[in-house]
Amino acid sequence: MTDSVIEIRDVHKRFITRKANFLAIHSVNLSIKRNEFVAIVGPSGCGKSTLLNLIAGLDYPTRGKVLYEGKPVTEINTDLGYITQNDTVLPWRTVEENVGISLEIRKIPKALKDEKVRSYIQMAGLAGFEKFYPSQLSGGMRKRVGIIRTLIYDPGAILMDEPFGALDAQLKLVMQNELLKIFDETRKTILFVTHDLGEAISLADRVAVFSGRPGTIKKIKEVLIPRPRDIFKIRFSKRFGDLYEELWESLKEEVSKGESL
Amino acid sequence: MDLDKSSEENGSPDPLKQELIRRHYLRRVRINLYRLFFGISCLLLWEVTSGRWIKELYISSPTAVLRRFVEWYASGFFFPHLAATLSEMALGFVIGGAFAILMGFIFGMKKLWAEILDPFLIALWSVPGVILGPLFILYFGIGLTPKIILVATTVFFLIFFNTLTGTREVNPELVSSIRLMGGSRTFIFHKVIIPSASAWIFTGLRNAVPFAIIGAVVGEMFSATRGIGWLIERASGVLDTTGVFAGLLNLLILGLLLNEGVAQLETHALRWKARGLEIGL
Repeated sequence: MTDSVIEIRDVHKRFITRKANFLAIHSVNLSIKRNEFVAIVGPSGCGKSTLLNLIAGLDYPTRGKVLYEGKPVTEINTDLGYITQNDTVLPWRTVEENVGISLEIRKIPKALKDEKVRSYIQMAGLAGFEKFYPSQLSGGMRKRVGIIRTLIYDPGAILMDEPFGALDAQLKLVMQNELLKIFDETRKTILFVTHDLGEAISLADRVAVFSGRPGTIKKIKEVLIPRPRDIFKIRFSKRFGDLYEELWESLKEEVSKGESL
Repeated sequence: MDLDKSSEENGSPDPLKQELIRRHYLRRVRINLYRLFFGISCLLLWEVTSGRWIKELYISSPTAVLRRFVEWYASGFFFPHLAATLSEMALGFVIGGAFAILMGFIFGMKKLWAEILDPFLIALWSVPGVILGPLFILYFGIGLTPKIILVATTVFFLIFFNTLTGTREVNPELVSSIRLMGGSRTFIFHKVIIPSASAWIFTGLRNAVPFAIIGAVVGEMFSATRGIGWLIERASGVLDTTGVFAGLLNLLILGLLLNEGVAQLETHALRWKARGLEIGL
C-alpha cells in the first residue's frame, strides 16, 4: 500500500446549493500505484471530474479521505499536473511562454528554462511555432502545448480530464498514440478520465467503470495488454475485444440510465 | 478556420485566402470612397445653404470655418487654448483612468466590498458627472485643477465598471490551472488577471475618450480664462457662429486623434487576439 501515489478511501461528495442538493459521488475507493496508468470511464455527468477536483485539492470530500503520497489532501496539490478538456493555455502568451510558465513560477534560471522549453517544443513537434499565439494554432496543437506545459515541470502524477474529448476522431488517435509514447518514456502516474471506452482500454493499465448519479466505481479491470502498444492496431487484438465487451456490458446500463434522465 | 502563417512562409499562398484578402481590401476602399462622398456632399450642402436659404449668422459656412481655423493656427492665437484643454484632458484621463483601474481590480477581487458598495456606485454613476462642475470650481478655483478633476470623474465610472467586469470575467479554469502549477496570488494577478481583463479595460478607455472631452469643455464653459470650451462659450456669447464651429472642428479632430491613440495602444497590448477574423466571409 505504501507504493500508491493516490489513494481514495470511501469518498463521498455532496453538493448543496440554493437550488440543488445532490450526491455527486459516493463510496469511491481507488488506489493508484506509482507509474500506473488508470482510466476511469463513465457517462457524462457522473462525477468523474468531481473526483479529479478532489484529488487536485480544488474541492474537498464530504466524507472519506483522499491521500496523496500518503498524506491527506488539504490544499491545492501543486505536485500534480492537471490537464482538462478545455484549453487552459493562456491566450496572451506565445507557445514558448505558455510552455515555460511553470518554470517561471519555480524561478528556474532563464538559460535553463529556455533550453528545457526548446526541447519540449521539439518533442511535441511544435518547432517553428514558438512565437505563435494560441489563437493562431489548430486545436490539436493547442492540446499539445497544454500537455507539454504540464510534463515540463515533472509533476508527481498527472490527472487528465477528457483531454482529447473535443478533437476529431483521427486527431484523437494521433494524440492517444503520442500519449502512449510519452507514458512509455516517462512512466508517469496517470489518472485519465474519459467517456470513450476504447480510449480507456487502449491507454490504461487498469480501467474503472463509473456508474452515473451518484457516481461510484462499479467495476475495475486490469487491461493486461503489453506495452509498447500500437494505438492503430490494438483495437483488433483479442484481449481488447473481450475486455471491451465485458466492460461495455457494465457501462451500457449507465449510459442508458443517463439518457433517460 | 486555421489562418496560420505557414502558407505564407513556405511561399505558396493559398488562393482562397488571397481572394478573401483582396475582397476585404476592395470593400475597405469602397467604404472609404462612400465616406468621402458623403462628407463632401454634406459640406457642399452646408456651403450652398448658407447665406442663400439660411442666414450665415445662424450656420456660418464651411469656408468661413476653415478660414477661421487656419487663422487661429497661423496667428498662434489658438495654441494656449489648445494646450489648456489638452492638458486638462490628458491629466484628467490619466488620473481618473489609473484610479478607476486600481479600484476596478480591488473591487473585482474583493467580492464583499463590491457587493456592499454596489447600490452607491450605481447611484453615483447615474448622476451626470459634469453637473459637479460648478462645485469643483467652488472648491478648486477657476484654474486647470477643477477641469482635471471633472475629466477624472467623468471618465472614472466607465473605466471602473469595465475593469470590474473584466476582473470578474476571468476564466476560473485558467486561474486554477496556474494555481495547480504553484502560481502565487501575485503571479496569478500579474500574469492571468491583468492580461485577461485588459480587453475590457481598453474598451472602457476607448469609450471614455469622448467623456474626457465633455468633461474638459464643459468645465471650461462654466468658468475659465482659456481653453477650447471657453473659446466656444465666448464665441457663442457674441453670436460668432463661425468661432463656435471652428472650436467644434478642433474638438472633433482632438477626439479622433485620441481615439486613434488608444486604439493603437490597444492593438499592441492585445496583439494575441485572433486577427484575420475581419477578413472572414
